[in-house]
Amino acid sequence: MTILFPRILAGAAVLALTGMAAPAMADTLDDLRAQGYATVAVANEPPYSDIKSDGYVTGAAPDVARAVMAKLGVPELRAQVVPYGSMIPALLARRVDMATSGLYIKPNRCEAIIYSQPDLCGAEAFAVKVGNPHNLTTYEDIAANPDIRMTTCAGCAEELYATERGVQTKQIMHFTDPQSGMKMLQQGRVDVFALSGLGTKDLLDKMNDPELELIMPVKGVPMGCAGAAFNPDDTAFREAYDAALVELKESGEFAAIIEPYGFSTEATLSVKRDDFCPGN
Amino acid sequence: MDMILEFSPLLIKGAGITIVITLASAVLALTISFIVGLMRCSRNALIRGIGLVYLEFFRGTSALVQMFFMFYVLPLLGVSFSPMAAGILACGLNLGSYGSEVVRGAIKAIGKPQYEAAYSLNYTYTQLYRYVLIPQALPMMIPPFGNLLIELMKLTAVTSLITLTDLTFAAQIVRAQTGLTLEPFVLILVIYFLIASALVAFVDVLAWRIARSRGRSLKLEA
Repeated sequence: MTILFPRILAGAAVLALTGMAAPAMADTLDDLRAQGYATVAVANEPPYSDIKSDGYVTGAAPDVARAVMAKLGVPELRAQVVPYGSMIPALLARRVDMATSGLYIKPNRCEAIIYSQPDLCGAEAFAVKVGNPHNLTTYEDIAANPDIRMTTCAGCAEELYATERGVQTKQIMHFTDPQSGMKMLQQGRVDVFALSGLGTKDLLDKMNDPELELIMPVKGVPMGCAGAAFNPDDTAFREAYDAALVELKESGEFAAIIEPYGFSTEATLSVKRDDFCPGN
Repeated sequence: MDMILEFSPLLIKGAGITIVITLASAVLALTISFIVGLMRCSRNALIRGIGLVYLEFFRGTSALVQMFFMFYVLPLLGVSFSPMAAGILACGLNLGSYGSEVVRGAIKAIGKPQYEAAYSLNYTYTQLYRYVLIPQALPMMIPPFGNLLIELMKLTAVTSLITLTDLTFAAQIVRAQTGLTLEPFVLILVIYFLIASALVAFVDVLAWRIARSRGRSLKLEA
């Protein structure tokens, strides 16, 4: 028994190892083709993603992904709305096959996940009370006055822009969703709301509140570029996605998809993934 | 209001999912309540201990964190539940821990003479529970279980954070799409209240039927 036992253990270990290695070896794209659909994480932030009253998910990012996946032989996209902060965990836990929703390509994110080439680029924006009483046009302006309170989403690029430029953590109040951030601004709990330019503009247009004003672009911060994000084991899937995305960009189809949402094709074509995350 | 009407199919679907999660996790929670509650009454210290560990773990940690753990951490260990299953499990396991105290409390509330009477009639341990303790404890469990059922229904709102399109989630979509905040939130408050009222009515009917079948009032002093 004493001799047999280690052998059983070793056998079990080998079994466990091969069992664990199997999913990583399988080609995700082949699996998706076989099942006929891909599960995609999207945020609830128009115009990056847009959820119609019948539950159909559209918006710039899902529409690009839908076109790319159709080229790759996956006809259907099943969207799951996932908050920005949970997108990377969802990819790592394989809750979703990819995330496409304006998740900016950022070095700290590239350590955990891999990105496609950039698909949507845009300037940053602030929303403030009308007349901009504190005269805020850059993150440095916020840092200069410690009494100013700003709001943005937890773990978002805007938070990093702010702290990198000297805004103190106690000045930043996180919102759970952009609508709640705008409410905080309306009610005077914060002085400035920071988010992607088009997201902020869309929200302001919908709220149609004469008391609020859009500041766009915010100077001194880079243009934010998003791409489709994948589990780090899915490099083959990512390469195939990139190839199809290039075709889409060259055929002009890409511009036809994103421009109606207000995104600039020119801005997107002028950047590469390596500009943000070399070697990702 | 027109915009809210446009999104009503989404809200109705969300209400349906809230109801399904509530009912499924209620069944799970009730089962666990009895299993763990009876374990905690056991004469065997090991069984009592296991019951206690379950109770303290699921009552003493946040339901939201349990849900995130089930949804985002377990898949890394190779166990993957669908969002629906993870939501039902987390709600059911969590409320089951509270429910077990209801079961245990009601059983412990039965007076010593009942035990003595059962022993003097030479009832076995199983017979004591089956014919003496549980039937008398059951009516006492109904009101606190009713409370927990409502609590459970409201807990299902956190499943919106693990991608389930429940009522709260539907309201968030309406907010993002329309920029309205007051209207969708007032509307789902009313819907939650209506669902809770239906659950209260169900518990009342249940209490009344049990009382009638026993031929006495549920009021303990009567």
